[in-house]
Order: sequence, then C-alpha cells, then structure tokens
Amino acid sequence: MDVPILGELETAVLDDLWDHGVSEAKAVHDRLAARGITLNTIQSTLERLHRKDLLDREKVSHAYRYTPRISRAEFRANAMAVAAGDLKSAESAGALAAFIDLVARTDRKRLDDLAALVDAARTRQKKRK
Amino acid sequence: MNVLPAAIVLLAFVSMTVSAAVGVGRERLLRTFEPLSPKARAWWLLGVLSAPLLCSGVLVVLALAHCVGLRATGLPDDCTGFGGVCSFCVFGGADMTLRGWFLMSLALVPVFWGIVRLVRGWWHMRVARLRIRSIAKVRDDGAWSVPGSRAFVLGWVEPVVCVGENLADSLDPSAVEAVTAHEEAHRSSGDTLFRAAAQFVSVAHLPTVARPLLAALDLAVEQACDERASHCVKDRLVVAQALIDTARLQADDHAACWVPASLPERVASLCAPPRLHAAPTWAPAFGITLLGTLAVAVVLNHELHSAFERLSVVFTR
Repeated sequence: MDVPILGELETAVLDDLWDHGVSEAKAVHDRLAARGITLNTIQSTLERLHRKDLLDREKVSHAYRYTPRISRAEFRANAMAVAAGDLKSAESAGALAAFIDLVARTDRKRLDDLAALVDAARTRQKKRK
Repeated sequence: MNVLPAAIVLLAFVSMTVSAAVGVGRERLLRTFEPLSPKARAWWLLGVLSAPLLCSGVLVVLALAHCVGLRATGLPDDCTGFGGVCSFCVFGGADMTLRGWFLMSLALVPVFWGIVRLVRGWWHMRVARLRIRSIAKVRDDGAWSVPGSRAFVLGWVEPVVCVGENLADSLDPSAVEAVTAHEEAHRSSGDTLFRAAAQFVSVAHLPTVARPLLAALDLAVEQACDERASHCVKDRLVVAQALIDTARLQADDHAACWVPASLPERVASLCAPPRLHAAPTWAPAFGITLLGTLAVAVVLNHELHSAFERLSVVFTR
C-alpha cells in the first residue's frame, strides 16, 4: 500500500480520529480547539485525508462523518515499510548511520559464536576483578 | 586557447595515478592505521580517500597559478616562455574541439555521478524523514521512537536519532541505553555528513580502490561510536551484547539473518581492551598529502605547465 506523507495537522486529525472513532468535522474541531484553528481548516484537512484514501466518509443529514480506513498500527507499519526503501537509498549517499544494518548475509551460528566471545570476555573480566 | 579540457583531463590522469598508487599500497596502509583509535583512523582514511582529488587539484591549480596571477594583475601572459603557443592561458578564446569536449566529459563523469548520488540520497533522506516524522513518537531525550527493530541517525543537517520500538521493548535497559548512546554519538559528531563527504571525494578514486577504503572508514566510524557508547554505559561488553541482540532481533524481523560484515570486527574490538592511540586526526591526515603535492608541484611546475600547453593545443581549434 502506498502511504502518503502527512503534514502536522493531518497527523493530528488522523490521530484524533484513531482515538475517538467515527466523528464529524465539528467534533474534531472541538477536540482540537487548543490549536486555535478554524472549522473550515479542519473540514479541508478531513477532505484531504479522504482524498488520500485514509478516511471513509458518509453523509448523515448535512454533515459528513469520517472513519479511519486503516488502524493506527497498520498505518505506522506501512509507513515504516515504505520509508525503509527511502532509507536504503539515503544510506547509499551516507545520509544514514545505522547501529546494525542490512549489508551482508550471515547465519545465526555466527551470532552464537560472537555471543560466546562476549561471554568469554565477561568471564575473564570477572576473574580479573 | 582554452586550457579547461587539458586541466580536467590532467586532473583525471593525476587522480587515477594517485588512486592506483593507493591501491597498490592499500593493505599496508590499512595495517598502518590499525593501531590507531577508531576516530583517528577514520580521519586518516578520509585523508587517503581525498588524496587523488587533493593532489590533482593542487597540481593543476599551481601549474596554472603563474598565468592566472599575471592575468589578474593585468600583466601580459608569458606562456610562450614555456615553449608553447598559448597566449591566453586560462581565459583563452579559441573553441574546444570535439575531441576536447569528449575527453573532458568523460573525465567529469565520476564527478557528475557523485553529485547525482548525493542529490538522490538527500531527496530520499528528506522523504523518509517526512514520512517517519508523521508516525514517530518524540521521546523525552528528543529521539524519535519508530516502529521496527532498527536504530539509526537520519539527516546531514540537524540529524535525528530514531530508535525502533521493538528494539526498546525487547532489549535490556542497559542495551537500549548503549544503542541510544551509539546513535547519539553519530548525531553529535556529524557522522552522516562525514560519510557523505567521504563518498563524494571517493569519486576521484578507481572504484576497486575506493570500495575497501570506504568499508574501512565505515567500520572506523562505527567503532568510534561503539567506544563512545561503551564510555557512556561504562561497560564495553554491554555494547557488544547489544550489537548481537540487535542483529538477532533484525534477523527475526526479516526472516533471513542479515548482519553487517563488520559486526564480528566490532564485537571483537569491544571484547579487547580499548586502543588508546588517539592523537592524530585531520591535520596530519591531510597535511602529509598536501605538503607532498606542494613539493611535487613546485619542482615540476615548468613541466606541468608545458603539458597543459601541449594538451591545450590538441584540444582547441
């Protein structure tokens, strides 16, 4: 699934819908009132999220009711998976420094050997103390 | 006449010669750097990686300095004194021949490739950063908590530390501290920018020579951060164990086991006592190359300039 890049307000609105479930623009606006943004801004943000396929909506009376199309965990996992591709390319230009990275294949036996090396060093350290 | 194609072709020629010389003595060089502390080793390796660009640049600039100086002060060019026919050494009006354009473009291909790689990396980094920012939770220490089992630093300017939630949940608190300290060391010492610079200057090297040098530089940079992390958690073995545990976690994440080739070296280094040889950094690393090149440029200035003139005659109509 292609995961769009979200702005700060879009993230906040989506987070709010994940927290509170199906909501109308007015309800979202009330909950995000502390940000000092207008109802119009919230409506256009919801509209944008709907166009990005992240929200479903149904018309009830005169207002739309919005529902997140995917769960928060699903969205985060998908976004991270897509970002991993970009990270790989960024890495090739030195824009990324990773603690452990996906560079060469090795087997679990090798990891066990390394763990044994650390254990041996720890034993030596204890003996010295 | 126009000396631009001659300058660039000579630049490429000197770069390749220096790179070949480095390639021949590579094993010996790496052995010489081995006793150094990782940070010092990284600087020396950057010095070696930039040697072709530095040497060829200095040689070309010094060979042309005489004419540029005369032009800048408004005095007539005396290039004919070098045995050539050049009267407008650097700012010449004659057009380049097709051969000149072709050879110049060929010599510039690695530089264009280096620039393309940098821009591409910057773009992907920017996109990844925007994408991750919308899903990350900012921790108290300013690091971003992200899904998955990876820990990394992202960005050249104002780099940000990202730590995988799976990593933070599964490892011991001391191991998590080690991972975070390692990444923080990358962030505070600007390693992403350092690596990008190393990759860019390595375009002047022959690819077969640059690759092992870059791998050695990567290892040195990682080991330097391992050392700083071990200093932070006050136990080298905690960092070594954190490396292995992280590799195991990532192996579980990706079904197949993927670990960097440098992992055994990093763990072995952490299991041994620290290397205290920390003194030399950038000054001697670049100074030796620069002084050597200056000496060569001064001694061979006349011959170099004549080479420019002869090549310029070939490359201009």
